Formats: sequence, structure tokens, C-alpha cells
Amino acid sequence: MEIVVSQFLANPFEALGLEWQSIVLHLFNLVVLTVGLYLLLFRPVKRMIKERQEKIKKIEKENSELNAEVKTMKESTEVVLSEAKKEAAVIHENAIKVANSKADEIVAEARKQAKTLLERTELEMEEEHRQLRSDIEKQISDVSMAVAEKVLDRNIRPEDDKKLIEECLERWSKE
Amino acid sequence: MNKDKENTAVVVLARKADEETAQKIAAFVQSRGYTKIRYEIDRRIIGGLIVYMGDEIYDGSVRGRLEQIRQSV
Repeated sequence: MEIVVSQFLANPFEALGLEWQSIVLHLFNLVVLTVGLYLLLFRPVKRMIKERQEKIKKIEKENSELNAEVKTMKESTEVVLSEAKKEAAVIHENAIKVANSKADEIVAEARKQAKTLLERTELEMEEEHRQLRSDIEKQISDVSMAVAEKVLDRNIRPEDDKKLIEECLERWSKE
Repeated sequence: MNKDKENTAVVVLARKADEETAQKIAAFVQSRGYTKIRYEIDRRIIGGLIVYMGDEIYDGSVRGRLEQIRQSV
């Protein structure tokens, strides 16, 4: 046992059945492999990952900007909408005022026309009444005159007639 | 002829006048410058007389007075 250990310590490679050239070659191989893997695989992948990360960042940034823009547009839209609503309310109120005013005018005009019509009708009725009264008075007058004529014609005596003639002649003579 | 017509007064009576009345009528007509009288009887005047002398008309008839009353009413 002590011999094995001393032999191992004197020449460990030979003790393990290995040759140092082979190990060096293997190490060299490993280095070459490592370098090769780094250059052909690791670095491109890393670059790809980096590019991807940058792309993602860029997209995130654009998203963020778009969100901000959308928010701004939304706010301005709300402002415009609010102002439009106010304007619509004002227009609506004015329209109601105009409509009410127009309605008042129409009602006033209708009342005026009704009043005029009423006055005209009253005047016409008054005139008709006056005409009717005049016609009745004329008829009464005519009938009265006719009756008077009949009565006088029947009742006037020759002496009354003579007296009447003499009175007329006397009156005319004085003129 | 025309001159005759111009001097003729037309007197309308309801009935024939007696002598006295005719004389009074003649006197009145003569006072107005008319020498002739033509009498006409018209019952429609009811009573009194109407005298036509040229353009002048003297209406003293009952009908004339009734007509005046009718006009005033």
C-alpha cells in the first residue's frame, strides 16, 4: 500500500494508466470545443437574445407611447364631447325659447284675429239690427199712414175740406 | 197757345169746390199773375188743394201733409 501511494505521488499519470499527452490533447480539445461553442453557439444566441430583448423593449416603449397617445386622445375626446353636450343643451334651450316665443306670437295673433272677427260680427249684427229696426219703423209708418189715409178719406167732411182750403189760401197769401 | 198755358194755373181738389171757395182760389191765383184756372179732381189727395203755377207748386193737400209726416218719421 505504501508503495502504491509513493508510486502515485511520483508519477500520478502512469499510476492511473494515463498519458499526459492525451490529457493535454483532451484539454486542448476542450478548449477548442469551448471556444468553438462560444463563437458558434453561445455568442450568436446571446446576440439573438439581446436583439430580442431590445425588440421587446422597443415594442414596450411604442406601446407605452401609444397608450399615452390614446389616453390623451380619449381626454381630448371627452372634452370635445362635453363641450358638444353643453352646446347642444344651449341650442336646445334656445330652440325651446324660440318655439315658445313663436307659440306665444301665434296665440296672440289668433286672439287678435278672434277679437277683430268678434268686433266685426258685433258691428254687422248691430247694423243688421239697426236696419231691421228701420225697416220695421218704416213698415209701421207706412201702415199708419195707410190707416190714416183711409180714416181721413172716410171721415173728412166737405166743410172740413173747405176750411182746410181756406186756411191754405190765407197762409199762402201772407207769404 | 204757349202764352195761354203759361198764364193758366192748375188747381187739384179732392171734390168740386163751391162758389165761395172757387172765388177765393181765383183771387189767390190772380194775385200771383195768373188769369186762368184749370180744375182737376183727384180723390187721392183726400182733402185740401194743390196749386201748380208754372214752376211753383203750392201743396196744401192732406196727402201732402201725411207724406211730410212720413218723411219726418
